Amino acid sequence: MSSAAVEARGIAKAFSGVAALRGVDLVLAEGEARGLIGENGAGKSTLINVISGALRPDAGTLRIGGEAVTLRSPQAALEEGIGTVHQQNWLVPTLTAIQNVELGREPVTRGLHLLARGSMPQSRAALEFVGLLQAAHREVASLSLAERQLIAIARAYARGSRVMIFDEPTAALSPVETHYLFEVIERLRAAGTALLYVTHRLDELAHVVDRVTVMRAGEVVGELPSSAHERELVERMAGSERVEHEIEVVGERRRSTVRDRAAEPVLRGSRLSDADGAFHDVDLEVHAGEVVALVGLPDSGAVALARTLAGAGRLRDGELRLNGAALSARTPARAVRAGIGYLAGDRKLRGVLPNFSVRDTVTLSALPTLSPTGFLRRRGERRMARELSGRCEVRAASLSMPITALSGGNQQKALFARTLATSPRVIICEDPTAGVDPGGREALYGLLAGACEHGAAVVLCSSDLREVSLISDRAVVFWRGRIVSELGRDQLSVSALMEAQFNQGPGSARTAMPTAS
Amino acid sequence: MTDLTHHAELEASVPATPPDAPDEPRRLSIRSLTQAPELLVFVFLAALCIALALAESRFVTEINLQNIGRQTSVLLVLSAGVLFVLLVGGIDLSIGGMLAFTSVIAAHFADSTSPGIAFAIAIAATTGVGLLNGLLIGIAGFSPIVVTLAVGQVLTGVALLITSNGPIQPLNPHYTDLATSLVGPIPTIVIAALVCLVAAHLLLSRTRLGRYVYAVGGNEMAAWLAGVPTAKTKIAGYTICGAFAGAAGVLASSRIGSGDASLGPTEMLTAFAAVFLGGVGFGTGRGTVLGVALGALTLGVMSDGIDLLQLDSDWQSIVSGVLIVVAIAFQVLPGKLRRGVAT
Repeated sequence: MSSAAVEARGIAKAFSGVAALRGVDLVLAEGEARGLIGENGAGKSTLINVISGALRPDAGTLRIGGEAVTLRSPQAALEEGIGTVHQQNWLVPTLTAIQNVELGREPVTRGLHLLARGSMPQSRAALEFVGLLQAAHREVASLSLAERQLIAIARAYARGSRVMIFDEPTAALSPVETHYLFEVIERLRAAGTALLYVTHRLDELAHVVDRVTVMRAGEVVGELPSSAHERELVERMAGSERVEHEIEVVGERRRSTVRDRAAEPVLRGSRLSDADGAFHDVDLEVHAGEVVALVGLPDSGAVALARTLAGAGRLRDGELRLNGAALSARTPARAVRAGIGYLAGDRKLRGVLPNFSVRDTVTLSALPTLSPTGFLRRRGERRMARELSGRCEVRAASLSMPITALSGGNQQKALFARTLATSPRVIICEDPTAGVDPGGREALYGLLAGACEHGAAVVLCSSDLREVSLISDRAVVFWRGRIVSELGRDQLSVSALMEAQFNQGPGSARTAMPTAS
Repeated sequence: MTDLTHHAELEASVPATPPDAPDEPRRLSIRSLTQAPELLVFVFLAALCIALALAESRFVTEINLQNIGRQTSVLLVLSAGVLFVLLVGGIDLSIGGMLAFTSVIAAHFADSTSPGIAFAIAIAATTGVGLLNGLLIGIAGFSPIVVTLAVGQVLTGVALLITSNGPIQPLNPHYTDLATSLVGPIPTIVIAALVCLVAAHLLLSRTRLGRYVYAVGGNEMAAWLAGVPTAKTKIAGYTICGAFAGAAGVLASSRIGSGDASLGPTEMLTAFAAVFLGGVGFGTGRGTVLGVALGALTLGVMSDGIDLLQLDSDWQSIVSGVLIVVAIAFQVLPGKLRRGVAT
């Protein structure tokens, strides 16, 4: 047998001391089609970034066609025959399709190295291969996301790539576009190209690949045929024994504090649709003392709904009521004033003000009530910051030190304190405990529980399904912008949540199968 | 960037409930110099003053010090205004045009009303222009550079039109009182500038608006999500900058005793130099009135020194340019070296 198309051995990679890959082996034979799945943070992205040249591994070797290589950039990987197609690709929007295919290796005149007229025959052939020849001279800016993906494929094909990596290519595609992409992938396979296909959508695997590699916590934990049952794949990803164990360690499951389901809910949304088309016709009720989790894959609309409830998105249709009164939360500032507290995800980009002290961070959202005249009341601010950062267990030498001098987990606790500072009646949080140590987590869960006991309603979006199963009263599952199922308190477990997220594709062949094994 | 490792050690040894000590006194060290750019400028300014005092006996005389004060007043007020727009993550290239515009408006109305009323009209007019800048940038979302450049052009044009017969020289002898009179040993114009600086300082450090200004500059998206009215804050920033540019224009006009459309370009560039020298970052939400004032004062003293030593005045821009690069190097390089980043 000939040598492998790609052979990665013992690949390790850590980010600021946290291991993302712990000695991963992955061998892809010539012409093989392989799936790669795993939870968020399992290490899939890191692995494909290493193979596609975007990241340098800390340890391990990479062989392409039997030869050891060191990839310094995605460009270098492309020259070695490894092409990568992302959900969104880096193309130059002001150049034409064929100019993007040729980017970096344009035909030039001899001597002066001026751009030659016309294009290379292999570029045209590549566009024809993906069925995009008619758009060769159109600007990329005018093309759809799906067409841009095809250009990325053509770019790799024109360079004779032997391996093509797909990173969740269908996440933002319509069913028709997805179908066409699969056709092109089929053509690539027929041409002998090896595939590495990363996806969150388990129902796609059987269409595209033969075998599936499962990753968890930076390691490869299994290799299954793509015909394996979804339940089996999900259990491999979640590692069910370990899940049960960790729940015991992290702490008690939150006691339910829902008082009266018949009473008027604190937050009621009916037939909600947003302006970006991220969710449609959603009904949602959150009662006093209740924690409702919105779960779903990254583009399912769950996070978009949470953001819109917090005033950071735009509703196109539907009605929101807070304690029975109509609510118009068109900006976060208005939402805060109305009694909605928001802890945004992505701490660095959407949470921390790097020029602020810990104290000023905690009091920021509460300033309108803390300084009604417009003049700051420093004593009041100090008292509030001291009290809240104590309750949230923010570890800081002094409240006047810069927030960026704290560890990530402590920054998160300070942001949590900021959200609580306005005594909100509805708390919307995205990944509230990202980067927080177990002790801090328990403190924050305790604070959420305390707010619930005082009648607050909580909407939780978290990619940490253990957290969801620990503190929620129920979980609402989103798929492509709609609510497709709901899990009650007794049904909440990591594997049940994961299965519900992954296993909802309408029109997917697999959902028709009986789930009992 | 702040030093993470340094504080991480502190953090580990600290109990969960933080003591809320008032800001601990800073020791003078290289680290404190890089973390408090104001201190760096202050050290430089002090060194400059000592050197000039030793080199030239006329430096420490009442007349020369008054001179420095008069020369620097306009710059102090103008750069305090620039601070606000830089803090909200923007820039204002119309302040040059505003300077010309205010001086002409003030001179134009001085004889038909009184200098005081004319000054008020002029300041109100530029405040309105600042508000317009703010609305175009904060609400309509136009690019700050393009909008303020265009508005500055228009203002300069209007000033030129009004003064097509040459600079307007008000007949009222009280027009120059602001610049020439003294309160005790201190020129009135210096007191006016100080009042403006104190107002700017109080706005930034003692009001909710000031806190919001820093929030928008630090991370606009995060500030918006935390409930800060970011659009209003930006509008306020540009409006305040307009008001300060108007005040600076009035002071300048009183000093030269006329309304002159050629005012502006030089003053604007010097104001930006003063602000950057004073440690204000571009799009970082960092900077204080104290730093800006020290930066402006440094440039003022330097210009005075160059006059006293009878050097070619062209040296001024060379030295101030070099100073800015050195100041920024002091703020940026230590962090890079610590992290071992050579790029």
